[in-house]
Amino acid sequence: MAVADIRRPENINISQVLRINSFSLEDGHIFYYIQVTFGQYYWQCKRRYSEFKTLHDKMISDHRVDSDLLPAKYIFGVKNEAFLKKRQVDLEVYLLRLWHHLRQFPSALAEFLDFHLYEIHFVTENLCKLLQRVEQEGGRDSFSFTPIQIYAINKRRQLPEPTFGSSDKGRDFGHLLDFVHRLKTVKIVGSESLLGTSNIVENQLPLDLMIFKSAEHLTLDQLRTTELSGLENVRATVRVLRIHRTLQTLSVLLLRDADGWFAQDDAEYPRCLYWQKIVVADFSSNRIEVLEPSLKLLNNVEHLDLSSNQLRSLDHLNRLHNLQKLCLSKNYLAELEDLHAKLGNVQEINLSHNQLQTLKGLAKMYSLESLDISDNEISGVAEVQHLRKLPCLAKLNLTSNPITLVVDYRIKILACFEARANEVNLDGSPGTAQEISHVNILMALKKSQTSAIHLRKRPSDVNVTMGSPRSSPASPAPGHAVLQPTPSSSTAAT
Amino acid sequence: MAAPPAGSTNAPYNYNYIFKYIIIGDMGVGKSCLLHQFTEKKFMSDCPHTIGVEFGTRIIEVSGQKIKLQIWDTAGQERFRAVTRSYYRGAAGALMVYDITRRSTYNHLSSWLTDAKNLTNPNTVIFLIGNKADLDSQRDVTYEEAKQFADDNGLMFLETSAKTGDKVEDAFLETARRIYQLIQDGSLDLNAAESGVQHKPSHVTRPLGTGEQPEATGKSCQC
Ligand SMILES: Nc1nc2c(ncn2[C@@H]2O[C@H](COP(=O)(O)OP(=O)(O)OP(=O)(O)O)[C@@H](O)[C@H]2O)c(=O)[nH]1
Ligand SMILES: [Mg+2]
Repeated sequence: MAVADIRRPENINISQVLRINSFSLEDGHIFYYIQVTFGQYYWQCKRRYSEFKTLHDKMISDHRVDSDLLPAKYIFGVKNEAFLKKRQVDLEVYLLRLWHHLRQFPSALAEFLDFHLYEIHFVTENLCKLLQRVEQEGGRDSFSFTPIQIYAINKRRQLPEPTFGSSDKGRDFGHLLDFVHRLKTVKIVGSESLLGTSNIVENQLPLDLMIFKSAEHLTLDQLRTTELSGLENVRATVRVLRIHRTLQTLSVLLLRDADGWFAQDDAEYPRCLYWQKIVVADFSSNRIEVLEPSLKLLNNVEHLDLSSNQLRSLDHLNRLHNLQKLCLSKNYLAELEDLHAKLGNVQEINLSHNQLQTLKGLAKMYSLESLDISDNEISGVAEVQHLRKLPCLAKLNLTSNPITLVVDYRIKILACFEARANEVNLDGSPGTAQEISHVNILMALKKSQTSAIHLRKRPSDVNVTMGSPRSSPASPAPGHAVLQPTPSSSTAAT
Repeated sequence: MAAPPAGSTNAPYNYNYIFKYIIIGDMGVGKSCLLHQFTEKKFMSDCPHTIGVEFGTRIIEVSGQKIKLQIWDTAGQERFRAVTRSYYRGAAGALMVYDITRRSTYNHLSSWLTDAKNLTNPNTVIFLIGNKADLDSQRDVTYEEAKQFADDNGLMFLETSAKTGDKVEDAFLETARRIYQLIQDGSLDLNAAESGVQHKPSHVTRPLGTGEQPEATGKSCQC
């Protein structure tokens, strides 16, 4: 793609740019395969004779091209190999002549050759067109780009050319640049595969984000951090950063432009390297295995999403003093030793879809208000006992854990929170009146219970007696069993 | 050592306000003992170092209003400095403690004060506490000197003993009174998330177990 200034065709050897390589019969039609080559890049498009004809008609009317230029349609007889070979050559000559003949490169020809997909002038012109439509619809401040579009804008920006080629002012490149500068929400979706019929891999193109001068929300999906530049701007404006399917470590992004600073440095980084503005950082769906000291560069982050990564441990999160919400679902976390020593004043943690067997490490996360541990391997009520001292916990999700199979599961879990049982929303619903009254009875029983009572009854009997509140608490009612932290998961229905 | 409200006999939910406190200061100055003395009215003679953070609550009364104090007791050890910094956020009161028998803990106050000023909001009430006042014979910092420091920096100040309990109540209560005063004269915005104060109409919580309203399970982060 790229490159030479196609508006001054005398500067390039057209015959090296344009070739018709072959033809083939598909669905009863003959297609000619045109290859366009600019430097190291090329692409192919296939066109029927009738499409040549349509192009030609437009060239005649719009650009006063000689009507004899196109080889005539062959009307009679069999389209044999020799004929088609000759036609292939004639059509190639036609295109070369056409190109040569024209002083300006018209959009119709560009489109015929798929320039709007692969060549910087026409990629940007195409964007301008899109933009016109957007503005007719009332405008917007968000937009999704592909790397080639950004590459084209950046290249085009640097060309010593007027900002518009066609007479249509709506397609003024300056207009596009202004639009891009003012965008608040930007998404860039890359790709590792070949672009269309070309040999261009979009993710290999340099990706300079400098043009997004006002972006507050930036989403990067499936890109290569090694091609990223212009991050100063991102640091200056972006508040919500989302990066997916791109990162193996956070440092490759956070220290991308930090020459000489390394991920493992625990030294103080210079002020300018901090991503001060970022409040929401969503790095879900990457392949992050460890968290490095450079995490502290996100010093103002309040909401951090690391779900769907490959974390086995949690490190350096203590540097995020403003962190309030942490999403760690779908990682490989099996234990959380003394989480409160690693993590500060966090209100909400999502640990769903991990491999947790114990909740011990959460026992002192006193700031927690909401905890999601669904889809883990928690099996005993004793594990939930670790949470009973969390004074602010109002939402707990334990669904899809073995523990939910325990008899009287909800009552036993709510009972862990004693007097606060009615403040805790369990698995999406608060305790019902019946559940809470059961819990209250259990508490009353517990209070009057002497330590020497031995219990052998199955806890499944509880429901039978629960209907009578304040039943003589001293008697060893069967309900007592519920009060015991289940020593093993023996009560779990398997 | 933390004393969660759960199970306490007087209805634990009957309060009008929640005030968040943070206790800061060098290791070993007696932060955890102060908290314990305040919530349990007992002295712990062999208190382990705090790991990360501890927590305690107590309901007090100021001008006829029931106020629940939510107290975050931070670790003084340097290695937890990063973790504990996050607890300054949204604190309505900060108790900054030194040990009157160890001058170094007093000398470090300026660094604690810097953190407190930087990480809390401008209305956070900072109360300076010189603890271990019972050990007067080993005194290393005079009352006058610390009082001067407090005045220079606009802090409230008391010397306490977590051991005897002397002045411990006063420190916690005076902080609350000052916060309540800030609410009354309008300089503390109750609606601001970072004010460290929550107002609750009394008889607050959901009536026992009328839990039918199916709270939306839709979590805010879609993961
Ligand atoms: N004599 C006397 N000893 C005290 C007093 N307060 C605390 N101590 C003792 O000082 C030691 C440290 O007290 P802690 O409350 O654990 O200190 P801390 O500030 O919480 O320390 P970290 O948790 O490490 O930050 C303990 O051995 C206490 O018994 C006091 O008022 N008088
Ligand atoms: Mg302590």
